Amino acid sequence: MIVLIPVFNEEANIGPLLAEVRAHCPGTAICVINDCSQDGTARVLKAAGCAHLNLPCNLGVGGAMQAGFRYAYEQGYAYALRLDGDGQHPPAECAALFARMAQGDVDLVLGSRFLAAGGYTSTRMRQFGIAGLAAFLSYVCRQRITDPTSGFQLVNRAVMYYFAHQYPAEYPEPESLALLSRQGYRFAEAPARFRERQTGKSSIRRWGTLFFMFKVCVALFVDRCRAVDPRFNRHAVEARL
Amino acid sequence: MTLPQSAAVLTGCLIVALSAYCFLQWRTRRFQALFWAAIGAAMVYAGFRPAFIEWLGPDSLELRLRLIVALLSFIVLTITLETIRIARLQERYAFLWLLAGLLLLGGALLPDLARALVATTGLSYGVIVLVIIFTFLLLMLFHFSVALSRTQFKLAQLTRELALAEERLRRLETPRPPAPALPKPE
Repeated sequence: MIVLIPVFNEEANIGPLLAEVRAHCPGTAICVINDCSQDGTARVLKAAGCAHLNLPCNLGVGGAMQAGFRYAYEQGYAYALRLDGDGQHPPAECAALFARMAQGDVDLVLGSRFLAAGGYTSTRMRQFGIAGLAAFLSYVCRQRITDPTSGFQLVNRAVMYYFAHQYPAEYPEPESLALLSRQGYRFAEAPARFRERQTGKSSIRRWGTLFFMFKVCVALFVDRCRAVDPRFNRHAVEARL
Repeated sequence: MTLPQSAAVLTGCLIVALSAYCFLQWRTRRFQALFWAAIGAAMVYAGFRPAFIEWLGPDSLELRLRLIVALLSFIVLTITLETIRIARLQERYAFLWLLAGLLLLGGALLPDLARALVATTGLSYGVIVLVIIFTFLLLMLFHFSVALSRTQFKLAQLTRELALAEERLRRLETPRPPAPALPKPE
């Protein structure tokens, strides 16, 4: 079991987050993917002494996560938990995700802030965008999804292998779910309370929300038009592992 | 002597002088220098004897456009070949530019082809030339977008590979200190 944390300019958040992860998930490995931060993130990570990947060019969260999944796969971990570097996913909430994964019938568990009572649910504008996206993605996947943009995810080794080879580049969360359902992987949601980011500012600006929605919907549509890659089908991957 | 005539003579002299200089200094291929010298000489001659232009064809907008297009195609071809020669351009991209140059050359040398297009579409010769150039440029831009995407994809792969290798190196270089005592969860 490994915790993957993509960070970009989070020198103030990353230290407390690492301490929190160590406190709540003792014994798990941590790998921080530093997506070419311009501040002192690399220095903080070096001092923290945990495994970290310093990307020499900024690839965006998708490109960074792909490196993380690749690392997790190569190191032979059975499960990988993804947390956002801004600290909005409290490691304490991961128990619900593990419990769902332990039932054994899913390959990915998604922490949903809308299934949990209380907690931070982001701005009005963004909620509206997320609701629209959720409706569209639920239709595409033929399965109800309440929080398509959640980066709080627990994946097993088969998904890890798939994501290590193919992962969408920008704002990857909704698109990756659509790809998973297309390749025959099973996923479910579990309730998780989110927090507001601790310090610093989000990489998505206010009006960016609408553009983001539009872009993701186009990406979802384009993915439907592409041929399914049989190499990464769930059964093919499970047979290989 | 009218102004265009003297301009042609002056430009022709300049081209001849430049090509002679390049010829003597080995700045370029001898064949190219001779070729440009011939063009310069033709311009000088046409400046003194306007009848020379009439000999090329009837003095019309079409002829002028053909001359301009021909000049353009020579420039494109020269630059492309020269850049390939000094190996700054990969052949796969050079191929497109060569095609562009040859297309222009064909348009200038085969006026019947253009006239056939004029007859079919009903557009004028100048507009046809512009439309073809514009379409070709769009296709070219599209080609570059595809090439850029491919390059970016490769760059991302390399970046990940580098980060993983660096982490591995760091792990090998630093002997792992004993695991710090974990704080008790509240």
